[in-house]
Amino acid sequence: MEKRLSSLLENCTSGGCGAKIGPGELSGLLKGLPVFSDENLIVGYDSSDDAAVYKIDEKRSIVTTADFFPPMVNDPKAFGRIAAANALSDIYAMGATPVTALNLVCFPQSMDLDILREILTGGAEKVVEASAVLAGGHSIYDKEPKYGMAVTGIVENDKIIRNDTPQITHKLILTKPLGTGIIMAALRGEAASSEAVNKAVASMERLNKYAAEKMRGFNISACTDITGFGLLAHMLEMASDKVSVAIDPNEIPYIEEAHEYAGDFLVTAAGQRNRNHFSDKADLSGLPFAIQELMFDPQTSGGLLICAAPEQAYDLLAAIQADDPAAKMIGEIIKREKDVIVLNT
Amino acid sequence: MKIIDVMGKPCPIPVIEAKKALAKQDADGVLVRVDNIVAVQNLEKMAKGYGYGFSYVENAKDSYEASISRDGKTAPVLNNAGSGAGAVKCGPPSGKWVVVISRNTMGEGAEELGKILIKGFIYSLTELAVPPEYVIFLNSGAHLTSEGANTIEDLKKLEEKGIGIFTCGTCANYYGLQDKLAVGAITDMYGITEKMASASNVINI
Repeated sequence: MEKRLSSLLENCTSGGCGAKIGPGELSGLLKGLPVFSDENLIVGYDSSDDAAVYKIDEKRSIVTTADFFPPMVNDPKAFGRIAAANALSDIYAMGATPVTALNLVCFPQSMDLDILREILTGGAEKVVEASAVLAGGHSIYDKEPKYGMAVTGIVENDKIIRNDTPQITHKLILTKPLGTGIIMAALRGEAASSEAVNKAVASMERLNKYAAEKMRGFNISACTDITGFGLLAHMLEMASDKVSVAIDPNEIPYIEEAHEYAGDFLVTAAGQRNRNHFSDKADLSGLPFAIQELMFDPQTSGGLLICAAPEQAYDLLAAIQADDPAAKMIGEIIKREKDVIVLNT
Repeated sequence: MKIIDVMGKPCPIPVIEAKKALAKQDADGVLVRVDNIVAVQNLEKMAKGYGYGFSYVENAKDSYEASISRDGKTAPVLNNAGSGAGAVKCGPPSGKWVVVISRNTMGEGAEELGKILIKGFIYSLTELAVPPEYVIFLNSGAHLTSEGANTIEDLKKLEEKGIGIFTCGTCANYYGLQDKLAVGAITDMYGITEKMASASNVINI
């Protein structure tokens, strides 16, 4: 088993959300495409939100998203769970409930089909946990294995939570620790401890469902999930050109070993690409190097970044921490200043 | 200079391989061949972080050579996890001794006196004919390698003589000193334990 699994990984040059096309290249590409408009398309790709939202009637909208990537772990079932949790996450970040999921599969012809069975089993487990329905999928042969899902969710029109509508004075909660990208990259270099890998895998497998369910009933002005672009990128995206974000660097949750590996410069290519793209948009030079790297670290199946009304935020945080103990209050939304990201030190 | 070819290898493997090569006792530098600029940038962060010399050339769009020179700086310990085959060798144990300083004063009694004594002790190390191989700082000892300490000058002298100055990273973090390190490198408990275990004599302060 071990042999086959490591060959699964060896086939890939970069795993998880670290395989994302760089943010600079991507926005350049998208500029060349026509902008579609439809009065019922409430959230489209022009707003770079987590998922597309299409109004189906006066009450409800459907939310659609797709995500897939090459494996980043040795265990195919864990890979399946992570890929599914990651794909489902965008639905939760919009405030919606997932209803159907379709498998997206790329798999090498030469590879043992038992591995694929394990991947699909792991994915299906998460769909069950999400109380959604696995409704089909599409599979092709490919040199490198890849797996993910297209997911559809439903949301009431007045419950849609965008990622770029934060209100000033609202507090920011991050529900999962950072560092999964660094740990998975260290694993490829055989430089990660098994404890570190276990922590990262558990975090990536974790559905954002629980944190998202806690949000209901609270005054939430914005929400997104942390992806391969890293925490800083999502904060910048949330602030857009309207507000600034004051962060408490000491409160940023991270997996201890990831902090250690970052201090040892065991960092990823995707993290450096994020640094190249975003470092002129925010000055992090006042932070220790390892914290900077964690803020650029590409997250696979990252946590939710929730923007909650200040009088309710601590109650929400306590409720989230009951199931996701790593969750932390990492900052707040302030009036637009010269710098989009302000460091509270 | 040792040449490492890590073309096609994803990050952080170029950094890991370069660190392994630099950790060899007789290494003065390493030339790393990589196929993308991002790997070059990650090597540069590592080199600059440890105070090494760094330069690179672009031979083609998918071919770069980064050279890292130790410039007399002590190589840091490798990350514990990878250990095994590629781990740091601390050289033959014969006659190698290590000083472990786990507080920012010396001896029991008045704190003021203890601070004078520890400064004197570190100065004395610089005068020894056979100096220790490593001086390791733990717990409140981490203050002695941080900006503002009156021991920095003597520790830098030790470092120039090729003596490894290491501070426990957990300790520096605990006291909020992680970005104030003024001399030597940060290490972890594995690195500390390894150095103590390979020494023929350990002096605990």
